[in-house]
Amino acid sequence: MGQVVEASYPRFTVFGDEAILVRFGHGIDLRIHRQIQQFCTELAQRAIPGVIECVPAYDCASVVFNPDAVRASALVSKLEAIVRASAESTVTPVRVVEIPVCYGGDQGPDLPYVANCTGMSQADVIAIHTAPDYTVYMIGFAPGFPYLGGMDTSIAVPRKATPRPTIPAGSVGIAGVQTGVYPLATPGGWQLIGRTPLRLFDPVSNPPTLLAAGDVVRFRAISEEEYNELCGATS
Amino acid sequence: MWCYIVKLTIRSGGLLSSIQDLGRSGWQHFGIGPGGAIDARALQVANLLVGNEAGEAGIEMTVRGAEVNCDEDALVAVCGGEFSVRVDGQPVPMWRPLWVARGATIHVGYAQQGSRAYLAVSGTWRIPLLLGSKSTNLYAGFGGLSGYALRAGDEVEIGPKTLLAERFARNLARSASAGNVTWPSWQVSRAMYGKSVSERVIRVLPGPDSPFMTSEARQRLYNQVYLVTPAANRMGIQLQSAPIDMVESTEPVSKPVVTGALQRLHSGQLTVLLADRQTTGGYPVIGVVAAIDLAQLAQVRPGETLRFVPITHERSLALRAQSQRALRQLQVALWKRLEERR
Repeated sequence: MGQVVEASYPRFTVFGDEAILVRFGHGIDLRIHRQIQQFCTELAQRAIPGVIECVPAYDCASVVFNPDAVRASALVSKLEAIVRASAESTVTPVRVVEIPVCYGGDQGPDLPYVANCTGMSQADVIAIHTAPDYTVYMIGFAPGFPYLGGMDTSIAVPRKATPRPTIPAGSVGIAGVQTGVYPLATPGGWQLIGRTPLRLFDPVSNPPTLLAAGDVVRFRAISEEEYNELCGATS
Repeated sequence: MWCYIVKLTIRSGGLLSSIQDLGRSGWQHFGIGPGGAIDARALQVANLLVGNEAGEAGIEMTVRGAEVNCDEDALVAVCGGEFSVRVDGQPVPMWRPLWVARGATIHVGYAQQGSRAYLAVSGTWRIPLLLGSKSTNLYAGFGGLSGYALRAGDEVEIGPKTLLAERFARNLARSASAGNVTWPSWQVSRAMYGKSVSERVIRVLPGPDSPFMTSEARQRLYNQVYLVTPAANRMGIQLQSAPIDMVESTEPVSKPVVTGALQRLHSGQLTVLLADRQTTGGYPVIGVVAAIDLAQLAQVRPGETLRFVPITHERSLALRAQSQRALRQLQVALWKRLEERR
């Protein structure tokens, strides 16, 4: 961690006509993530006229605004003050979301492959996958899709050589050192180890997604019976 | 007779038609992109022409339009690229309010120029608001009519018209000597909307990764011609050109993106993001198309070429404000026109 590099953050860049990109560092880092969460919380509390939303990512956040209501230069000086204030604020409360997952079988057709690849039993893979607290670094790619950090690298496996044309919504997969849950039925190359009956995206719900950046996710293994029961309850 | 509700029945959905308004604002932190009409300007003008609020829903059509039947008298307008439009077989103009009689069929044919057209119909579209918008999100499958592109047999209800539109429609109807369609002698000045040029010039703001282009790429960005490839949809347009090279070879982590962002792919080629884009992306962004030129981009077709020229933030904002003023002036002028007795 070079002090020189650290000192040059945060950096503000006017991003098109309607956004300002605030960079807090470089790369995937829990410390940077927490700074961004505190910044977004502080920004929401200030309710600055013209600010529409704050979109957090791994090492930066984009502040979307209405240029008719606030000038970019005026907004940047306000954001500078918010970064300073949020650095001193206490850690924002973290929401823990438990996601029940039916591992293996029809719901997780690639679990045997992951076990083979890592030289473990299927039960070990499940135990390792359900052990950690995963951090939702950001939401992106699709509505409600979480970029999770914290997977044990001992169960890291490469993506499928040929992506599946469609994988069902709720599928839990592994791709390299990443793990995630698909909110929608989409094509995808992840190794599917299970599926959750929970809906990660529902446009008529408020909020419309199960997860938000800053949440902590815990996976809990459930039986096929419990999976079917929960599916019946949520449909 | 007062006709409050018009039922539109889709006879043919054309190549890709969907219900769109100005999209969803404020949901990107949940991974939900803005969406909405790709050529927002054309939809807004079409809505003003029929006495609606500019941001009401309409049908966005792509390259080959839809065929739509109205079960009641209706005031409609078609704006966008140059499409051939017929009502019950009779050619009708774009950029004008059209009174169509009950039972009439509006047929939007092929685009002679441009690629998107918008059908506005007077009244409120009876489509549920999801996350603040009636827009169809085709990728996530929600909004509009159950999240799908329009197909034969689909029905949409619209109404009631505003009093202004009702009166105007009745005046027009009275002047219809015969036939199922009539329109006023005036039209919106085409000069304001869309340019019919073979080589479009798109104004570009600097992007967050602009400093990481090689000096050669910086020269090249504004001096070369870009070919629009067939990989063009509501999410974005892939371009083909000599490669834009970057100084840094390290892969950046995913960052938020904006509509109009010029993403530089691994191959060195550029992609411009449109309204149905994702909310984040892992590619460097080396420029952002000025808001004023998004309407032009919405009308480009595969095989056409375009160029980029730099613009400052100040100039881009001034043009954006000017364009909004023009839209408000148009609204006022149209109110006056719609009120006129013939």
